Amino acid sequence: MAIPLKYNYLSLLKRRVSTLMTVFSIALVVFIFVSVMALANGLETALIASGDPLNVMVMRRGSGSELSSAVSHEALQVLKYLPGVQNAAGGEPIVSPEVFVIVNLPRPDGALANIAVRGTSPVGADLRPQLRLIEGRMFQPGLREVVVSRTISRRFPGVRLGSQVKLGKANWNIVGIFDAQGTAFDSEIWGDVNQVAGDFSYQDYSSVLLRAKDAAAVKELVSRIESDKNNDLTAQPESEYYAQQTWAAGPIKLMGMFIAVVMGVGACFAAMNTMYAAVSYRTKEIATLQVLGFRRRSILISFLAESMLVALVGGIVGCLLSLPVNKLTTATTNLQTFSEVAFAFRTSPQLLLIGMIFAVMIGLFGGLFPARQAARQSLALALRKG
Amino acid sequence: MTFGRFIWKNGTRNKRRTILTVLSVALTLFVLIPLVTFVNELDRRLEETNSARLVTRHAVIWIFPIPERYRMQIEKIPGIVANTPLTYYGGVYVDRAHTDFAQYSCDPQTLFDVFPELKIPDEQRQAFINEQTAVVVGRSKADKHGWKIGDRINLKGAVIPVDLELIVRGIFSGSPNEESNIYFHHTYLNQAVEAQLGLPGGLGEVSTYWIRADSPASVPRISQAIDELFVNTDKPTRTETEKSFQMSFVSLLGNIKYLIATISALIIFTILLVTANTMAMSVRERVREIAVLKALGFRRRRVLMLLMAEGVMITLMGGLLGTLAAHFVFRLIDIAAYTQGSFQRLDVTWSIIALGLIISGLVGVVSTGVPAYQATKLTVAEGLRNIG
Amino acid sequence: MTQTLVEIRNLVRTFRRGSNEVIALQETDLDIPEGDFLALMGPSGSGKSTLLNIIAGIDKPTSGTVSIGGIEVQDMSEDELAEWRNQNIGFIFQTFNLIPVLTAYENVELPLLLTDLSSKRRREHVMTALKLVGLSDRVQHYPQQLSGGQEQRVAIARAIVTDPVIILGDEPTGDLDARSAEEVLTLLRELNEHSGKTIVMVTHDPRAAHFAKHERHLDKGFLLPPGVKYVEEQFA
Repeated sequence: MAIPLKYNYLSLLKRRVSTLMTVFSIALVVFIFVSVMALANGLETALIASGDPLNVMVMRRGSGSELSSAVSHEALQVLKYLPGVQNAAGGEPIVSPEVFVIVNLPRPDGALANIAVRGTSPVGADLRPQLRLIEGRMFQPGLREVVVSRTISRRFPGVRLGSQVKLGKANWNIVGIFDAQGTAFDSEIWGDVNQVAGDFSYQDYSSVLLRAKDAAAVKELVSRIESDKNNDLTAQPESEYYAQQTWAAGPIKLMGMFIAVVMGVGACFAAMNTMYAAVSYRTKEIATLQVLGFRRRSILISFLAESMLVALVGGIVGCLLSLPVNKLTTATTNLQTFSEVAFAFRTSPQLLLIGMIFAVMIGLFGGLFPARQAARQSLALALRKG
Repeated sequence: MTFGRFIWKNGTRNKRRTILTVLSVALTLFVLIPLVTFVNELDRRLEETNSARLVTRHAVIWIFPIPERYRMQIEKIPGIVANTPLTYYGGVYVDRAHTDFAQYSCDPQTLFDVFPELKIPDEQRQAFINEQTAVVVGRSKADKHGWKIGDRINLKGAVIPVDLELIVRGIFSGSPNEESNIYFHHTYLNQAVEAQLGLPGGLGEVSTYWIRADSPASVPRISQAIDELFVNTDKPTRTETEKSFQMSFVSLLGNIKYLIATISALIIFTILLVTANTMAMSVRERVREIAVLKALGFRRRRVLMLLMAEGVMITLMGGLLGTLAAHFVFRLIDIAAYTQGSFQRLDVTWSIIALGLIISGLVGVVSTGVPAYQATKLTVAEGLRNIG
Repeated sequence: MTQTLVEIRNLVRTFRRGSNEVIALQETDLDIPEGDFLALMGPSGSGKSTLLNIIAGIDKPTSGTVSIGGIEVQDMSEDELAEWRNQNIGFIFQTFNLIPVLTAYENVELPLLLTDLSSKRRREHVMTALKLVGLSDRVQHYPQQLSGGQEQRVAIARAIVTDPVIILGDEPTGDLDARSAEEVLTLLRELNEHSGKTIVMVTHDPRAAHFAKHERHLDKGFLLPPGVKYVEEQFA
């Protein structure tokens, strides 16, 4: 026969303050875990989701990032007409030569941030469908016009639609605001490739983006470019390029796991303390239950349920606390390009689920030994003690 | 019996509870300490800087190079004692995991004049100057990789796509961060670039110039003078103190300090809740005893102190356990290899241990303070009525 | 003539219970001579414990004066009272109230920690007190290793170790079996007769009261005149 849960509920209510404190300490552990993991998640998304696997990115051999790469105009002409490059409706190959530079923008606190400026073309924009213009219009080739991400326009005062921003030597008009849905492009400013190259004295392109016809063509293009020793170029799917830059998420995840596991064990001990106290306060009640005919197993399950109930509530509170953190934007530096990467905390249903499982584990392990002690309690001893 | 013994006996009366509390405090400190150490490491970098040293770099960002010819113009400015270019090579030694040090090309003639804190025997210094493929390495890295004078170090280019074959001619000692660097001839790097990339004359550019001024007082004047020289070129410079240069690296990590501070605060708050809960339980069970002590003539404040001392004793035991565990465990982790040399160590110093103990002590004071205050506030008659 | 040790005048003690004012003690006057052994008797709620607590400096009167050994205690601050209790009062509780984590020796030593006696002098006092209560062989025992009677004797040793001017007992035999109760009461009587200690004891056990020199009865907050006993209410 099972002991009704109401009994546990009432006894928790009786020790209100202690119960609340236990709930909150478990909630905080879950909150820290979910938040740090959401941070790593967000950083990963910012970089991984940036590339399309059908886009092939060509850079100079040996350059780890677009920043140190150079691709000549002659090389572009060769790349354009490689077999496997998809042609647009008009017959033109879908190719976007791009220039990637870093500029300084003043943060609200006065410090200078390194911001990436991408000189690209309408084709370049088409190759990144995750980028959507939400205000204004696209930049016009041949003009000092840029579109900026919503993230940047929010982070930097004065970077607004219709205002001007100083990039390099000249002022550029901001004609549009875009949203790249959490990808790396959300940390970039886009302008016309020739205008950017001219202003920043770039003779070469930084990279060339090719659209392959299909997955097989991607492989073919990569191996063809890699094996051509004449032009000293390297090629990889755009998605791979960004995936390589996600290593920073690794240590953050590691840190999150470390904090969560160690703190989780600590919370377990805390729960154990509370439950042991609960058991010892209720020595008489347990004895009474035994006299009434409840079996030891029912008592064990009852106490375990009580501890899990506390942990479960803690887990729910922790997850709820972590919800406002979701979408909160922060920034770090992409250590390959040394430019700022803005990214948002991303909590996912899986992450919340893991957080809940975590809480339940705390409740389970924290309650197990005290519950066993309650179940094994000697009836005679308990009644005498009272 | 002394008060100390009385506190100890009270603190350990429920052994299981005390052990569980000590362990949860210890675990928390074990988590907290590396976070604090990381921030401390960032700060220490700034402290180790020399206030008479300047760094000249590209005005936008240091990864943009500046011309080699700037050096002649810079050195005409009075007040400069020594100047060496440093160019970040960023190569790979064996593989990424082994590359736990940074590699720079320099001017071997002036390197040790710019960094007088680096100690090297004179004959090694001379040998380094005399041979173009020579390299000097930091003591700690030489020990770790087993490098001896005359050994070869082969590096594979990554940032600068040329490979280098170097011979160890000197081993220098300095601070742990400094000892994590190796230096070789800039002219050798140029040669390799000319030979392997076909660029006549080599790079023609350097990453930075490191300059030692005759005194910290000349620093603002020199930095202004240098930047004025190149302000209208297409490669303008920014000259700043070594400290502010290092600071720009730290700021690269973005809000990391803020993030860590937030996490740390949450962690401390969690442990506060946990210990407050335990201490509240333990005080509540003793309301009668507290009344008895007062009846025997113990002043209220003394009882409060005894209870707080008990709480502090428990949290301090946990704090000591956690910080010492952190001290010994984290030095076993080769953090340099994980971060490709950006971080050399997680060195839990004695001052961090002290900080950990202060935090745990305060946690003890705050967590015991509230329940103890409430319990001692009861009059003796009220306390004696309490069925505990 | 013996001197008056405790002099209580116009003592009133009221409590607030919710919005009601409950009178625990009404206009009480009481003189206790030095060397007396007084039993305060009365049913539950008669005010006897309140009276005892006020004499002990554990509770404060609402009005009136309490003078003990010539010192008025009703206006003392909490801290002054604590110090005064330590030097002048030995208190014995119904439930012994020994500290469970301390040995018999340490329990007796506890009030001496507040004095500036050296540990050697403390040892002498503690051993004397334990010898007086007949527990010299139980020095290192913990309370749970002792019988109820032994526990109460340790408590008495704790009460006398500071050599107080007055020993107060609140139902000191209430939790004891008849045999142990007799032992404890005999001990108290010896302390009174041989050591000249003034003792005031609250009890509702008439047999316990026989050990005292005098009895005073309380009922419904009134201290009845000497020789007048309260009448046990019969259960209907």
